[in-house]
Amino acid sequence: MFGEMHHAWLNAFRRNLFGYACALCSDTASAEDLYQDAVLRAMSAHSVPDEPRRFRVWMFRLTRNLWIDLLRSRRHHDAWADEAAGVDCDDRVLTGGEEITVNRLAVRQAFLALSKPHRDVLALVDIGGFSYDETAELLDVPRGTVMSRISRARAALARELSDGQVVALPLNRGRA
Amino acid sequence: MSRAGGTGVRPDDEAMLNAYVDGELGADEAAALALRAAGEPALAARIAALHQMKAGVVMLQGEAPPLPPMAKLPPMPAPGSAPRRHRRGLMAAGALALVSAVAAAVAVLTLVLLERPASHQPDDLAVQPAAAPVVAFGTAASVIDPALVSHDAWVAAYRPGAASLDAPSWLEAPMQAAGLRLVHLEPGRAGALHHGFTGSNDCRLSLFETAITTTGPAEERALRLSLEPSLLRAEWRVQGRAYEMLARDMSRTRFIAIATALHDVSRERRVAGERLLAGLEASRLPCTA
Repeated sequence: MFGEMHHAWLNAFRRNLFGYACALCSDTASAEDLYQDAVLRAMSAHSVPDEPRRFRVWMFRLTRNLWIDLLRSRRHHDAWADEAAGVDCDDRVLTGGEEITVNRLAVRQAFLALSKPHRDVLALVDIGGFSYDETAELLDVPRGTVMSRISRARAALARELSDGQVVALPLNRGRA
Repeated sequence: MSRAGGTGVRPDDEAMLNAYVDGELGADEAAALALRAAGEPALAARIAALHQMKAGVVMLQGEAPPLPPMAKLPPMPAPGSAPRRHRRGLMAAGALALVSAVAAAVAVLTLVLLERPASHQPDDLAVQPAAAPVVAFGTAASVIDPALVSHDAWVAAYRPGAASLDAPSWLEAPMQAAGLRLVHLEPGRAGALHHGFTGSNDCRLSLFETAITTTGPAEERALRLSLEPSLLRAEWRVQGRAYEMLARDMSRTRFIAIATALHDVSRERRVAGERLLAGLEASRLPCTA
């Protein structure tokens, strides 16, 4: 059963969890709904891990599963079908190692333009703070798959930031 | 294996670079990569870009709504037994009030993000909407940067030949390997401890260390690099401390090598390994001052 201990653990990483929900959903209202549903479902669950790391993984997996259910119910499951078939939704020629100065709004625009699998893996590692092994456990894939997805996801993010569709606002003073 | 892009980085190397940035490489592998980056400016730039990419995604976290209290909640209906809208109708009135409060908070957060000046800001998405002093520097209006002010003031006042000071043990070895010595140590602005380092070629590098005293759990922040022609900046948070490193006239490769090394050793305040130190020595390049 969900107890005070779980409540305290969840409170410690709720920012990461909400950030994960924001990364998965394209709008804030959906992210709020997803986050709230996940929290309430967790608090009503009969079987809850009683070890902090396992609880954290369980909480993120619960959130992810709710999101997948939502996508399937809305018939927006193309990205997942492609993922199952091994198709990389953002698979284009890698660009060179050009330096990119980013800012928050530009990154948000570019991030939302990524495929759902790429947003998912980046959100788990960068926002959720999970290790590659934990992410592999969450996604039920080998660690090597997580490594390659992270690499492709960041390459795709770099392309989105540099292809002119996303306007990189000046980060520092005096920069046009 | 085909080569990708102008860096000569192969696709399998690309995965390794990302693992390095995510702290997923073993100590020996990480040190070997740092050593290689010290001698390959394009590789160092690629690593810096990945650090920025990671830091950019980390910044997407927003202020999370508070958790509902540990009160007795109505049982969740069985999956598929009620429409999503009806399930929300079954929740306590407090949940609806929570959503309203969250919507209001998000509206404020969005407004602040849209109106935030296009200048460097501390990487803190627990947004502080209180107005900061705005000073025009002859170009776009910008916000006073306490660390940059302290760095520039120290550089302006510094005279060559200043006596070396005792650096903290975790800093001593990597900075010595980087060819820098501590010549300035005093409380800076905003509660930070200002370490000022200088090298034989008139390099000036500042490291600001601040204890994080927020009430919530101290959060780690990934290494974030800003490499403009006239200002090099690195920021990160680990182990309840915030670090900011600044230099104006240092080669990017050297700055990246030092930032990456300090980020690594600051995680556990451990003594830097031999390979890490070798990488720093290899990255010594004359400053451009």
